[in-house]
Amino acid sequence: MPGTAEEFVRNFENAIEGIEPGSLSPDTEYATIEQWDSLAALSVLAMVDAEYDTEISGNELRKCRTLQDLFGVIQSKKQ
Amino acid sequence: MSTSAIQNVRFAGVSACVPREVRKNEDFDLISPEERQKLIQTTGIANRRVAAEGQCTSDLCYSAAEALLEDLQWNRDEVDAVVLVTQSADYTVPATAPILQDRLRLPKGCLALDINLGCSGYTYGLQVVGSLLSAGKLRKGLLLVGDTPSKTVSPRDRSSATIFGDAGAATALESKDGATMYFDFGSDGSGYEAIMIPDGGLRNPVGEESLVMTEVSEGITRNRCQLILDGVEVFNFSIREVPKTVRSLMTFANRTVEDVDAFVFHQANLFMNDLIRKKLKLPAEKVPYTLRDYGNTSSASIPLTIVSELRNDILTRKMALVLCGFGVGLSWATSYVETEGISCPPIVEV
Repeated sequence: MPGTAEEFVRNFENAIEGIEPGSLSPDTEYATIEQWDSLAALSVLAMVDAEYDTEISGNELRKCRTLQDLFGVIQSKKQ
Repeated sequence: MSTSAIQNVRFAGVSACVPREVRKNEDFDLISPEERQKLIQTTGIANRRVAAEGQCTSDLCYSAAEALLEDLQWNRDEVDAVVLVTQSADYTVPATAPILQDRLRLPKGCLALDINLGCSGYTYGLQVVGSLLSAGKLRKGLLLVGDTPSKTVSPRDRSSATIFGDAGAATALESKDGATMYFDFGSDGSGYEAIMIPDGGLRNPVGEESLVMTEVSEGITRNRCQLILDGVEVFNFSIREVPKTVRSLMTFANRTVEDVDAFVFHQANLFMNDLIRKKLKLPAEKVPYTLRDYGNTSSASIPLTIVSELRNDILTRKMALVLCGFGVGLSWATSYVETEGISCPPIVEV
């Protein structure tokens, strides 16, 4: 099981340089995060690979809006 | 089958050639100076070589091959095969390898053909030329690899214009009893759109629309005859397949990390390459990079890195190398080769 959405948010915060721990929530829309750019996206993909042993495709990354959405993608792949 | 052992073929020499002109990413003024610094830090790429107008991949490969043949002192009449791996051929028709056969004064009895592969192409090419020689009839073969991505990348595409550099390389293989090369390889054409030039082939012939410059997203403006690089898909593919193929090769060749002197990966970008290195738990000193000075040079990146970073070692002692190419196709191939007393002239600049 991939853990909780809250854990995913902590992992997400740790993955991207310059994000204050505790500043994001499952409802955060990641495209609005100041630090969000192509490198941040790859850093999140690397984290998803390392922590959840799965991947989020380019299409999924474009379709999702919130961290909860991203976590949902991971959950669906880990079932 | 995704592994093979090629017997009785020796890795006899390797050379590389780059164009003289240097482009610096710190001068890439499509993005802010801060963004440039971040990009250089992340990709590890500070400088790239750019071919002059009219200077083609075949010219770079020709110069690399001349330097190698000269250094090897091979009788050119004994070269039985010349294989060129490139995605920047001189012409759509004919293939470029026969032109190089003639230009390099190789005999008419020489087998000459092109292979259309990019970042995985060096290790694929080794396998193809190795297989030809392993059959026993052909004795000496030249593998030429390279590309001039500067001519097919949009200068207004921050995702690719800052990454790719131009280079060519030559590798000599010859029949020799006892020598064995090991390979692990694969293809996944379901990801063919991740790295592609959409127009200009026969599926999408060049039309009026092909040359219209379109802003795809911020910092990425290109036309349909220029290269698309889908960073997310390539990243997912690379961190999924590359560690797997390297592990599979090591198991197949029955070698441990300690047995190998250097792991030479296709030079994609530092962020991704270093992640792959860490996933495989490889010590940094065994994984050379040339990203800083040459960028991603497609199929030439592995031989260029060998010549640039390992030349002193390779000239003075026996080396066990794992070489891993991955990318456009999508495709990948990893090889284990041993070198001893090989020819390795310094990098040629033209």
